[in-house]
Amino acid sequence: MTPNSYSDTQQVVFQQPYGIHPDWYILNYGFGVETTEECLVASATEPFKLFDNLTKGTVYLAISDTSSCASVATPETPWFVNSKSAKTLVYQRQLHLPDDLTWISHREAFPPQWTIEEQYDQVFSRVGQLINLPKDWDSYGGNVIEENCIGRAIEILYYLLELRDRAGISVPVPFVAPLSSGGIQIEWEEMERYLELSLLPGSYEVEYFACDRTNAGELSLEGSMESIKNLEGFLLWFIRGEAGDLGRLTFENSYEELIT
Amino acid sequence: MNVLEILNEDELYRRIPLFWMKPNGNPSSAAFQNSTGTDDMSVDLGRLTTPKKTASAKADCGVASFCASLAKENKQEVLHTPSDKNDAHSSVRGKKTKSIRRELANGSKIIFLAISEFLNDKQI
Repeated sequence: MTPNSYSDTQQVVFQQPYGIHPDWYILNYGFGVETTEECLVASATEPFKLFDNLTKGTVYLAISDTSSCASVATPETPWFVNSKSAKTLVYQRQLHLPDDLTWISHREAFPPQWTIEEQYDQVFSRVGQLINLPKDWDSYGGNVIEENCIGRAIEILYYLLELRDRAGISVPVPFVAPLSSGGIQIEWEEMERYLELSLLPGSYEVEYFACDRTNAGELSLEGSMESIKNLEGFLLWFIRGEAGDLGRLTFENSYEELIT
Repeated sequence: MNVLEILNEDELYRRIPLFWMKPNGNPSSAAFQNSTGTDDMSVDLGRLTTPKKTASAKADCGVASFCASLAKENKQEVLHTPSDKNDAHSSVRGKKTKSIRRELANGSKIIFLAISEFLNDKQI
């Protein structure tokens, strides 16, 4: 579908209903024609932001067009808008959508095709930003992130890259979040499967929590490990394992809890 | 301000800084810790405030909402604990294990986004 035919056939409505900043437009994509679903625009970067390499402007994905208190249907990373979804883009006026739609098509849709190293670069950068978080960064009295925790988080990220180089295990890019206690949480999530590592202040251990859904119910494993070398077992389970494999992982200082 | 009973169907609002917002638009379980040294997680009682007002306490924060019943099902007490500055302030009291934090995260939905660069107030 060419950009011109897109703009002719889609229900594209320009709206400024929310009193946003006068330099910004909102574009709502309505449910379109019955065509093969194709990606119109996408981002592999921040969840609500796409940088347009052609026009050098910034486009934000705001929300889907829902009523108050309805679920927000924001896409997985990389986020995308396709021809059958109702999404809202917010962009600076100089982009002049849809006239600039030459950069939005199913063949030329961005995201930039980042390598795994580039994706991890973003995570390293995010961890680096945590050191600048001030006291009360979370508005609930959150502590400054401990430098030891930041160092250990970086060590884990390097370990993930080394695992890929050494063993060919392609570990998905994790989500990294600061903890109010001054620690760092590293997590992966895929459907019902979840793996979380916690680096807490004043401790050199790595706490873990993993869960998955089996036929018998939810299975979870929680504990702590002294060496990140034990991570390989968890990561292999997360990437390739069966739900029941979680119950067969054994590490020092761990216990298993079956929840039905 | 009188202390109110929090009902199962009451909505509770929790501020979500951007660092806690996952790429899929859901809050991380990291957002549901207790305040350091306490068994309490601060929230606002939805019927005494608005998402925008809850978010306004800190720049670039969104707001996640979850039902009081969800907290109670996860062995938490939910108490209205108004302060001088916030009539809606409430506390979800109890140990926040990793599984409980995950339950709270999974049972929450983002109802307000505040990105200061271009949005004045954008309620979802």
